[in-house]
Amino acid sequence: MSDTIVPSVAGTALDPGTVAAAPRRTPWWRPYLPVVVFAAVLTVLPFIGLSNRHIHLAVVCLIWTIAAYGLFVPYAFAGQMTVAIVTAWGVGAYATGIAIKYWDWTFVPCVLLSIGLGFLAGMIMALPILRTKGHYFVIITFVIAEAVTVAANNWDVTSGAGGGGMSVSQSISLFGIDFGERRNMYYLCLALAAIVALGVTWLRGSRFGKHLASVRENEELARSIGIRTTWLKIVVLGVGGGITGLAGTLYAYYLSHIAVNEFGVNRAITLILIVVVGGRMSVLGPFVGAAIAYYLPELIDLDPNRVLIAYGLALGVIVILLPTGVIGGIEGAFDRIRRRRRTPTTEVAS
Amino acid sequence: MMLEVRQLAKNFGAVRAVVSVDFDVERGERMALIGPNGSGKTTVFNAVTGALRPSGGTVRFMDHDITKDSMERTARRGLVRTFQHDAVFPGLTVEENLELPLLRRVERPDIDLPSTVDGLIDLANLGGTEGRLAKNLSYGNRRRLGIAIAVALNPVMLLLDEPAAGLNERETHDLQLMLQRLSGLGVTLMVIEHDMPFITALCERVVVLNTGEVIATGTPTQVRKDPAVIEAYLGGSVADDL
Repeated sequence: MSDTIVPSVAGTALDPGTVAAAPRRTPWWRPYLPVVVFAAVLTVLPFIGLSNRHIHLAVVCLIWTIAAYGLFVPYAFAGQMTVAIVTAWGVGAYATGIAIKYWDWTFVPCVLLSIGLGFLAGMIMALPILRTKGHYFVIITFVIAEAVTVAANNWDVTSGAGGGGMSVSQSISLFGIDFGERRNMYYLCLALAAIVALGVTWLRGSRFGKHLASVRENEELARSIGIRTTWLKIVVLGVGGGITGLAGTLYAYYLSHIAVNEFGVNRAITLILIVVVGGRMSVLGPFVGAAIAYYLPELIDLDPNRVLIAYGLALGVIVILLPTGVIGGIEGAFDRIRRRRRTPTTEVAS
Repeated sequence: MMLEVRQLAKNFGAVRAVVSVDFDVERGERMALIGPNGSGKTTVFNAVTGALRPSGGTVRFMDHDITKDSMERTARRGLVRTFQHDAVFPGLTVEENLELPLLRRVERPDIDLPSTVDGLIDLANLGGTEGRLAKNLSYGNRRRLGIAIAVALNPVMLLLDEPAAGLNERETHDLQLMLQRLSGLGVTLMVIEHDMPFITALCERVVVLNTGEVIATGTPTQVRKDPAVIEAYLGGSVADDL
């Protein structure tokens, strides 16, 4: 959470005569560096001879990444898990589909609409938090996600003729570039995923992000220092909904067809898996989690039924062996190496 | 008058945790609230600070009726509490623990407590722990960090819930020094505590609760000799030891 590198300190709390090392401040750009480097590496992927199929998988994987950030923000920052985040994804996708079909909107207005409606949907679905918290809240969001799916299945506009879903017949065209071409779409999705990741990094270090951390760490104490925790939780779930709404627009445009059942609880479970496997506290976690949870099963042509079993196994293994996820585990290993290089000191219990 | 509590009551269903409690706290005073387990001390704290809505009675703080105020609003008014358990943000560093409440600091004309992380660390005698995660601190350091978090808000009055519980002799002494220093800076203190020597050394006045009612008020010496207190709380043998 901190932008402060923690040095090995000398002295003890009750030994003021000992000079303690002053904490070193990291430069402002340091937290953004991993995202920039990671995105830069991903820009070369299409040049290493990836087939059309793999570029397609990578595009969908990046859309999943953006959607996973919608879950990552409330979960990592404020400790709020919501299954209904997948509903915000559906709201974004259907808002795009409806705006194109009925009003012939173009990409940018569709993005803004999806983010706005996703934000609203996230906040509305967060309202049960006024009366519940923790596991009870998660259960209620589960019910909301299912209820919305059932309702959408019974609405002609969203379910489509004969329940066949909705076609989105427009491709993205911006600055004279046709993003209907897969490689172009890959770069658009990569750019948007990187922007989201940079925004999430900024959010973490902001005043708002610090307040969210207080909610995650100790809500009662946060309230006692004057932080309106309930309001913060509702807003951060709205922010998550907005991000996932953006993923909805990209999804609708890219796949050209959306169906209500695609935005059910199963998809939410995959999103949770992405965040947990990637690293629930690591900004790059959704990128890596999406690659493992979505791309890998496709890469090895895993049977859909076996994918579910693999998801379950992966979740179990990660929770036991890497509780902070893949990226969290790597970060932890680097921290341990760094600590070993410094002079070890321990605090003397006062 | 800093704090006026009148006929404060709190029921949990059929259980009357606090029946009717009256007391005042003067500006700059160091007051203790004591009583046997289950006497309603923490419930009074919770009701005064807005963590619980009282079932009856009124609470006035610096001439404002705060009976129905939330804990967040009460804190912004300058009445801040600490917790017996979970008084820190465990996954954040000491520095981050103090930066957070400093974001919520309210400047007040009548008090000016340390307004920087360094100043708060110095006050709490936590030098050298800035970069440590709060959960990795020793118990005594965690307790003082919890109080420093409250101090960061620049409170006029601090309510401390069993600050010395579980501390060893040296830690208790350090805590006492910290609280005396805070008192010297103009902070009014109200303390729930079981440690009578600690109370005697720190507090000028003691209010004794039993079964949700005030049964005695006075100096620590007076209270120790009060027959009702001896009967209800201390017990004959304990009183002899004091």
